[in-house]
Amino acid sequence: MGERDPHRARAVRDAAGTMYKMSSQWSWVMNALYISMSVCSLGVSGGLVQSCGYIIPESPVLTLGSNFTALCILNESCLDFGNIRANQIIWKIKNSVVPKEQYRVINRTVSSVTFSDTSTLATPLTCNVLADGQIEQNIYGIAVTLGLPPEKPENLSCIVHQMSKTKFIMTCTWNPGRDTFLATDFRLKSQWPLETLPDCEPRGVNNSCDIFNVQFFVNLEVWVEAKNALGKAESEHIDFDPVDIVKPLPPHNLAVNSRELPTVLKLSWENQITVVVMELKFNIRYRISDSSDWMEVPPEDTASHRTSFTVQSLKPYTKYVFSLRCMKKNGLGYWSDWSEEKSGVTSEAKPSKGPPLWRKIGISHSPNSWTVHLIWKELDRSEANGIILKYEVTVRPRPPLSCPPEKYSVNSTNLTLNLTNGTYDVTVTAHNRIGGSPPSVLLIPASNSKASVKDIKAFPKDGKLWIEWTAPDNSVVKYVIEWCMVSDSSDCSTEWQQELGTSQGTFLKGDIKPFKCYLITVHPLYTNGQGNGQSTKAYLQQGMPAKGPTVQTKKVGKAEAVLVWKPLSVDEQNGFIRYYTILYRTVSGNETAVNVDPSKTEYTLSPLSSDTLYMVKMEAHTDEGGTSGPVFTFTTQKFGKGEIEAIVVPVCLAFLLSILLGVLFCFNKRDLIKKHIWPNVPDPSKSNIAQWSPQTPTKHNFSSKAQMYPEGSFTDVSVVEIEADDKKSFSEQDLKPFNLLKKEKNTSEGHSSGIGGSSCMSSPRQSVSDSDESESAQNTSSTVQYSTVVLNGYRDQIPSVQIFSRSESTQPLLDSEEKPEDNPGGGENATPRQQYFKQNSSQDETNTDGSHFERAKQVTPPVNEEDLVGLAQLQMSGHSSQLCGSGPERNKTESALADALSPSTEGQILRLETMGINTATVDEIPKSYMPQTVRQGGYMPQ
Amino acid sequence: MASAEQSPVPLQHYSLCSRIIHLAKKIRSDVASLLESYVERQGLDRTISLDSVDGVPAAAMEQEGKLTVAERLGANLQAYRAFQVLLGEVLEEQRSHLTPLDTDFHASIQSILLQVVALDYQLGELLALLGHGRPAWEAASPENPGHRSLFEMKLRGLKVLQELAHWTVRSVRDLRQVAKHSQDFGAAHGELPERNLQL
Repeated sequence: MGERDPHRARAVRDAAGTMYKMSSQWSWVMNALYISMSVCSLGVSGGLVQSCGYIIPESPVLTLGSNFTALCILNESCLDFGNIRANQIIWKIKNSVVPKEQYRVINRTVSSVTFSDTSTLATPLTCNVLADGQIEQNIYGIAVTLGLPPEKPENLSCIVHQMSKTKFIMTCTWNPGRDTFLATDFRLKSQWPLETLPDCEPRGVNNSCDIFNVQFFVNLEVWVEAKNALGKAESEHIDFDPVDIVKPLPPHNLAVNSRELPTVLKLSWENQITVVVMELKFNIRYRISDSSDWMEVPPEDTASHRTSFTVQSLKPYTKYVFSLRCMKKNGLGYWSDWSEEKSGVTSEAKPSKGPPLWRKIGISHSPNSWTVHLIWKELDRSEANGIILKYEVTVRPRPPLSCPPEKYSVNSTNLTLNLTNGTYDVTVTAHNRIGGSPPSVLLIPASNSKASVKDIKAFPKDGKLWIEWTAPDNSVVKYVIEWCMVSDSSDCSTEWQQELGTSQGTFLKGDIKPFKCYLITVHPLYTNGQGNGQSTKAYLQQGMPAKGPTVQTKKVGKAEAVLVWKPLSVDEQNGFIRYYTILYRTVSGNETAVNVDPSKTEYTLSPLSSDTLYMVKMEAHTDEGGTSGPVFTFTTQKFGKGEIEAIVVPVCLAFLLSILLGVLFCFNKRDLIKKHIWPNVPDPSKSNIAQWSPQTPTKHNFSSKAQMYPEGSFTDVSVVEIEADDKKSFSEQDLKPFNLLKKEKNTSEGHSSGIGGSSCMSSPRQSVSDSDESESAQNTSSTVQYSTVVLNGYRDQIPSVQIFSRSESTQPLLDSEEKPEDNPGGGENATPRQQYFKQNSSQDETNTDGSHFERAKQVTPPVNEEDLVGLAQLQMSGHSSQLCGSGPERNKTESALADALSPSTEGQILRLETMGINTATVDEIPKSYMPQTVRQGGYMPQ
Repeated sequence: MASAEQSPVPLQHYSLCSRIIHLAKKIRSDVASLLESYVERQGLDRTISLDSVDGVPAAAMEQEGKLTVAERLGANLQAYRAFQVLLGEVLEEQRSHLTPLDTDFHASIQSILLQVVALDYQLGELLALLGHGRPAWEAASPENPGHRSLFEMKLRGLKVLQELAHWTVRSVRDLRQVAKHSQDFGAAHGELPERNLQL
C-alpha cells in the first residue's frame, strides 16, 4: 500500500454510502467489500497500516495448562464505516473456530475469549469478523508461546579438578529439571561472604559449568539460578571450601628400585599438588607382572604425606607392577586416578625347593649294571628365586655296595649313569647366583618290591584329565605319575609329574590333547623302596572314530560269509572302541545290524540267501558315536560245499560206465565191425599176375612176403613219392650212425589216410623201428632216411599240417633206385627219386601210360595237377616179427593233400603219395578196386 | 564441604585458624611463584634495592612478643587490607602499562588479590569469633599512579609482592600462636582432644 490508500479508502467509503441506499440485495455485498477494504487499508498513520482492531495481550508467553483470556478491541473508526460490532467477532486458532461458548462480548467494541487450558492453544490466535454474517474477515492475530517456568535445579555438586600443578578447575553440575519448552538461562552463582564472584554461564549445556578461578581456604557459596520468560528458580545454596572437593592429579614419575633384601622394593614418586594446598594420603597397589590380580598396601601404612614407600613381603626375583593414587590427607575430596604403572624386579634369593626328580631305567649292556637316566624338572620361577646356573647331582650307593658317593655338576635337566646293580640314593640341588636349593632325594631301589597303588582310574574332569588311585597301605612319600600319548605314528614320549604322598588324585599337568589316547602310570615312592607302576588309558575327550573299519570277506559260502577286518589304529580311534556294528543287506532288502565285540577281527554272517548280492559295511563305535567304513559287496554261492561233487561224480561215473560197456560191446563184436568197416583187400603179391608178369623184378622176391603175410593182411597200401634232398640226406646220413650207436627206437609220426574210400583221416600213429631193423636194412640197401610226408586228404580234404617224417622203412630199394645212372649221386639238380609203386586210388585217373614209373622225377606242377597221388611205401622187412600184429599200423608215411604242398623253392620235397593197394590172399577174390593205375615200375592193370 | 554445624567455640577458633594458616601459606606459595615470574617479566633483579619504595606495610616489627591476640590479628587485618589496594594498583599498572597482553600474569595477580581478600575476611571472622569485632576499614587512599614512572611501577610492584610474602610468613606465625592459645583453652575446658595439631 502506498500513500494513495487513504484516498482510495475514502472513495470506497463514499461509494458504499451511496450504495447503502440501494436495494437490500446488494447491500451485503457492498458491506463485505467495504469491510475487507477497511480491514486491510483503513488509513495510514505515520506510514503504518492502521488495523481495524487489536488483541490484548500481544504475543503472550503462557504457561502450559494455565487459563488465558484474550480481548479483541475494535477501533471506533471501523464501527463508523463498517457497521461492525463486537458481537460479530469470531475467534480462531489457526483455522479452527473457537467455540462461541468461550466468547464474551464485553461491550460494543470488545470481545473476549477464554481458554481454561492453554495446552489447547495454538498459534496464531486470530480475531475475525463476519460482515453481514456472511464474509469472514481477519482483524488481528497474535502468536502464543507456550512453555513452563524453570524448575528448581537440584543436586548441585561441585568438584575441583587439578589440571596442572597450580591450575584447578571447579566443575559444578546440577539437575536442571523438566524441559520448559522455552529458552531458559542457567547461571552458576558464587560468592564469598563479602565478595560476590562473577557468574558462571554454561556453554552449550544446561546442567554444568566450569569455574576457572578457584581459591582455596575460603568458603564459597554456590547456587544455580534458572530463568526464563515464565519465571526463575534458584537451587539450594551450597557452601564449601574448594580445597575440600579437589580431585588431585595422580603422583607421577613413579620409580621402583630393588634393595638388597629379595623381598622388598622401594617406590618413589612426585606429587603434583603442593603441600601448601593440601597434604595427601595414598593407595599403593601392586601385582605380579603376569597376573591380573592387584594387591594393596594397607592404607594405614600410606595415610601420610610422602614421596616414597618401601613395599615388603614380596617374592624374590619376581617382577612386580606398581601404581598409586592420592587424595587429601583428611579424606575430603576425591581420589585421584591411578598413576601410570611401573614395574620392578626383586633381588634373587636361594631356590626355595629342589627340582622334582625322577628316573628312567634303560637297557643295560651287561646283566650286572643298569643304565639310569636321571631326569628332573626346572623349578618354577617362584621356586627358583633367580636364574638357575647349575644342578649338582650326588649318587650315593647303599650297602652292600661300598662305592664312594659320586657328584656331578650338570647344566641340563638330565643325567645318564651306568650303575652297578644295587640301591642308590640320588640327590639333586639347583643353584642360582645366591646359593643352592634344598636337595631333592630319589631312591633308586634294586627292585620294585613295595606295594603298588590300586584302582587306578583316569577320566576327564573340568576340562582336564584327572587321575586318581587308591593309596597302598604303607605310607607313601610321593607319587610319580608318568604319561604318554599313544600313537601309531610316533613313539610314546613320556612325561611325568610328582605329587605329594598324601594325594590320591591329580590333574595331569601338561598339554593334554583331545581325541588322543594317553597311557598313564602311577608309581608310589617310599622312603626305602618303590612300588610297581600301575597303568591305565584315558582320553581327555573322545570323539567318533576318524574312519570305519574296512571289511572284506574271507570266505563266502552258500548261506554264510566270513567277514574279516583290520582293527582301527589308535590314531583313528579317537576314543575307546566300544563295539563294532556290521550292517548288511541285499540290494532290495532291509539292513540288518549286528554288534560285534571290539576284540574280534572276524565274524561269520549267517544265515544268508544263496546266490545273492550282499552289501556289507562296518561301523566302529566309541562313546561319542560311530563311523562307518566303506561298503563291501559279495555274492553268496549258488551251491553249497559238496553239492557240485554230489552231482558231478555220479554223472562222470555213469558216463565212464557207458563207455566201458560200449567198448566191451565193440570188442565182442569186433569181427563184425571189422568186416563191416575194413573189408578184406586182396594181396597183390599173391595174385596170379605177379607170378606171370614179365615186368616182375627178378630181384624182388615177393614170395617171402607172401610167406610173411600168408593171409594177405595188408588192407591199405600207400605209394610214397620220395624226393630226397641230397643235403638233407647227407646230413641225415651223417646222423644215422649216431642214431644207430644209440640203438634207440626212432619214432616218427605221420598221418595216414585210409584207403581211397576210407572214411576219415587217420589219427597220428607212431611207428617204431628197432635199430636192429635199421641196421639190417642199411646193410641190404640204401634207405631213404627222411622224407616229407605228404598228407593226402581224402577226397580233396586238405590236411592242416605238413609233417616231415623220417622214413622208417627198411625195405630194400627197387632195382631202378639202385641204378647209378638213375641216381646222379648228390647232384644239385638231379634229385634222386625213388618211386616204388604208385597206385592212384582216384577212379578218374585212367592213364595207364607205361611211363608212369618215373625215376628222378622232379616234382613239377604238372605232377600236382594230378591232384593227389598216394604213394604208399610198403616196407617189407625180412623180420616177420616186426610185422606181426601191427599190419595196419605199418604205414610210416601218410598221404597228404597235394594242395597243401605248393611247389617249394627251398628244395626238393619228398612227396609221399598214398594209394590204396588191395591185397588179398590167394584164396580171396579181390574186391572191386579196379581199374587200377600202375605207373612205371608198377603193375599193369589186370 | 565445610560443615555448617555448630561446633564449640574453641574448635571453631582452631578450625578457622587452621584454614587461615593454610590460606596464608598458599598465598605465600603463590606470591613466591609470582615473584619469580614478576622479576623475569619486568627484567628486574631480586637483589635490587627497594628502599626507595614506600607506602607498603612492612611485616617486620620490633615488639612482637608484647602484642595481644587482638593486636596481632588487627595488624594482620590492616596490612592485608592495604595489600588489597596495593595489589589492585599493581594489577592495573600491569594491565595498563607494563604487560597489557599478559593475561595469565594478570590472572596470577588477580588470584593472589582474591586470596588476600579472602584472608582479610577470614581474619575478620576470627577476630569476631574471638569477640573483638572487625576493625574499621582504614585503607589509605591510593597514590596517584600518574606520578610514577614505569620503572617505579615495576619496583613498587616488586616491593608489594615481597612484603606480602613477608606478611604471610608473619601471619602464619601469629595464627599459630592464636591457635595454640585456642588449643590450650579448649583442652582446659575438655573441648579439644589432646593431640598434636600440625598447623
